[in-house]
Amino acid sequence: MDEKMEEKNNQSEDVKIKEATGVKSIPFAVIAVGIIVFAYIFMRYIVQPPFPATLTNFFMMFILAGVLLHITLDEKKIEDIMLFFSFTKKEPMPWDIVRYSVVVIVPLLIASNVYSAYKVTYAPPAELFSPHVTPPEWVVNMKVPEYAVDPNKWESKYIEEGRLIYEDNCVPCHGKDADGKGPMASAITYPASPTNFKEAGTIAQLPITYVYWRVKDGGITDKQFKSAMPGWEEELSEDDMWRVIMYTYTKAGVKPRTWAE
Amino acid sequence: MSGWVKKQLILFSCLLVAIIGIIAAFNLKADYYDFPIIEARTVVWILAQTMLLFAAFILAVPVFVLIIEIGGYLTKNERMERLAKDFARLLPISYSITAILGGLFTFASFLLFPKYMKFMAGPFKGTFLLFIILITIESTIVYLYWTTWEKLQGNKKLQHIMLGVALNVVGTLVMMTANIWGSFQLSPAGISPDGVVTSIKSAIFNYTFWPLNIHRFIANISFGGFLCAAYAAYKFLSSKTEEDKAHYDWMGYTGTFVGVATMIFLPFAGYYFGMEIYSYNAQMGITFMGGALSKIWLLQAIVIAVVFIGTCYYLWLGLDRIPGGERYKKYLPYLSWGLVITFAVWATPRAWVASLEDVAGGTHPIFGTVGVMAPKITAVNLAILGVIVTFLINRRAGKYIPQGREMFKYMQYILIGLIIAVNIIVLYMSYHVDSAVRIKMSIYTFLFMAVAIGFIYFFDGLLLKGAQIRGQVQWGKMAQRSQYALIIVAVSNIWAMALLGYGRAAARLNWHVYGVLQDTSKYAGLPSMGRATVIISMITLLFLFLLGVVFKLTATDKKEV
Repeated sequence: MDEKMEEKNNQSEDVKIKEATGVKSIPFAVIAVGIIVFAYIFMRYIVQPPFPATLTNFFMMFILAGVLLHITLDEKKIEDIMLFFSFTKKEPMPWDIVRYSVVVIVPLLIASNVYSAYKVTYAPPAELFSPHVTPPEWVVNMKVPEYAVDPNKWESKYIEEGRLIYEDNCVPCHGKDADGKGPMASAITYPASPTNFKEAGTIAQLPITYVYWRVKDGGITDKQFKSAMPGWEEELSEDDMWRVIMYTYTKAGVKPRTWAE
Repeated sequence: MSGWVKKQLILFSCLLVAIIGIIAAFNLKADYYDFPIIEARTVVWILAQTMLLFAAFILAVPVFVLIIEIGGYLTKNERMERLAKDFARLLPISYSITAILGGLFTFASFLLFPKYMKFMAGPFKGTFLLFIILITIESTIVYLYWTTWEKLQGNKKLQHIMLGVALNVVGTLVMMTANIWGSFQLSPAGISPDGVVTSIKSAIFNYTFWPLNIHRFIANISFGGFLCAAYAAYKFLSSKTEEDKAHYDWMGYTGTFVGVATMIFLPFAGYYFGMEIYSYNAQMGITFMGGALSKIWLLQAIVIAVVFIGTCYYLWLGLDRIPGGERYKKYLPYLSWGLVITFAVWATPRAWVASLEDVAGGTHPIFGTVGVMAPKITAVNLAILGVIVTFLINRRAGKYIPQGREMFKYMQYILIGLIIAVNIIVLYMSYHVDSAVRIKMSIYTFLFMAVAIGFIYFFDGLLLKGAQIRGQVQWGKMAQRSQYALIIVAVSNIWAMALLGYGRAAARLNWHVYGVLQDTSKYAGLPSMGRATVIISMITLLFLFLLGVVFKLTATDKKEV
């Protein structure tokens, strides 16, 4: 009981002022609901392209945790929320709509989740996707040709040769600007769209030998990395592949990963 | 003397079991044997990880007890002395349980995986022997440390503290000896091309030996602090009297303090570990961080988020019991949301589930920009800053800041602003430079942060020197939910340790000793993430159960004293 009394005495100054002056603020419950709803709408409809569903759910977990923390930081807020959803206190019309919506929508959401979990679908099963799968032993130990070792010393003639090969073979999917937006790109979406080489998490993260492996073997027959990327071993010579890789890095404006000694 | 022999009996019988296993293994013909129903790998996995958790506990408790004991000695604080003793009480039984688990683990590994264990027993015979000698010494010191607690009081207290120091030194050496084997498996060195150990010195001081030592040492202290806090929380919740509540509230706070103060260094120890893995074998680094095992880091980010935010939440609620604490309550939601957002960044995957609807495939701009390492390092740094600010608020809440010292406060604001600015600049640059440069930058950022945080505390000392207090801290006046937070933090901590234990072993893929001794058993492939987490959860439960046994047994001891 003592704790309760003390809590009441500890009410923050602003609340007292607001109560004294009769200013009606938005109940915290409404703000909490607002944050949750807005976060979802923001991720799914405002940001373009929208967040993928699984990522949205993942972030919603953080949002819910944040709201829960926010509420429970203060005894007063917990009481307010309880009171708000217990329907014992009269609230103005708009807040009434909010609380009725919550008690109707939350069970519906749960029901819809149960429904979609049990519904038979014809989509391929979702799988964890690993962009940087483990390469075979030869990739780890391979020697890079002298002219391709140091990105600071790449000669422009090789890069120029690489450009021609790139434009002949890679542009349809990976695009003229190495941004993964070639004319055919939109047709390839599952399980991976053509790589945007300018993105920080792609070739800039990888040693050049790893990229060589991806070009040489492609992803169609690979057991770990399934993608629409064909293997180029039969179409291109080894030198061609090194040159096209050099050009790709140059065009994307990044360098292969190197290691501090 | 007979007491000592009795206490050592368990250790010796466990050693005997281990030795029987070793001898039997050398007479086995096959490379591998299976275990019915739960499979050989799972048996060794559970035994190894549960033993490691206990080993962490028995290393953590002496460090923790010593810190508290010294604190109590210096400040003449009776309460600290009582807490230290309360925890030292746990040591003898915990040692016995660790020894039992260790004996079983050795026995099982030699009999189920003779190929691997025979390989290790060759070059590392000397270290095995050293280990046996060290644990015998350690267990003797534990016995002395505990039995002389009452005798060595007053003038002789310093002798007892020295005994505690000796216990910690030997304990650390035991841990380091065990780390030789684990780190060698991960990054073997001193090996000839045909896989024979030619230089035992290089094999011992391999790439990941020191990072593993440092990481484990820091993590163990933190672990001890959080377990102490969780135990205190349990006792708090079941206390009937105000006096008990006050004691356990204070104990929970002290444990949390030790836990957090060491935990904030862990990310950096982790980077160092990661860096050494990359320099040992770049491909292992990529598999570990960006490839098949990258999902481990997402799970880790979530559990660490629980640990970080959970402790801060506890400290925020703790402001209620500090007179004057209410002044800071209005800032807490911002701090809380800040931490939630930084951890959301940390936990953002580079790629997630590939389904038709998601069309993830690693091409979504959010995955691409937030999912890589650059923003995560900034996020972790800012989260650490959040913890520091929480600490500052806690220190300041109950005091009147003396007049004329505003300057120090502004200096602190400037430093906090600088830390944020530097992190944002580094974040921007990280997207535009080589990975190697980026990793170097993160080290310098850490050094800068460490110095800046040091100065923040220095100014805090000047600011609050001789400050008048607003009133006594009302120990025991704590919301119940804060205690549940402490329990969740400890459980997440155990889970995180078991998860990363799995991660470190999984990084070797299908090798017993990476690149040297291949795993040719039917368990060479990695289990699915789902299966791994089930076993990790089972290990967590088993450990909690055994820990409960330790607490139960020592609690009955208490009545006798």
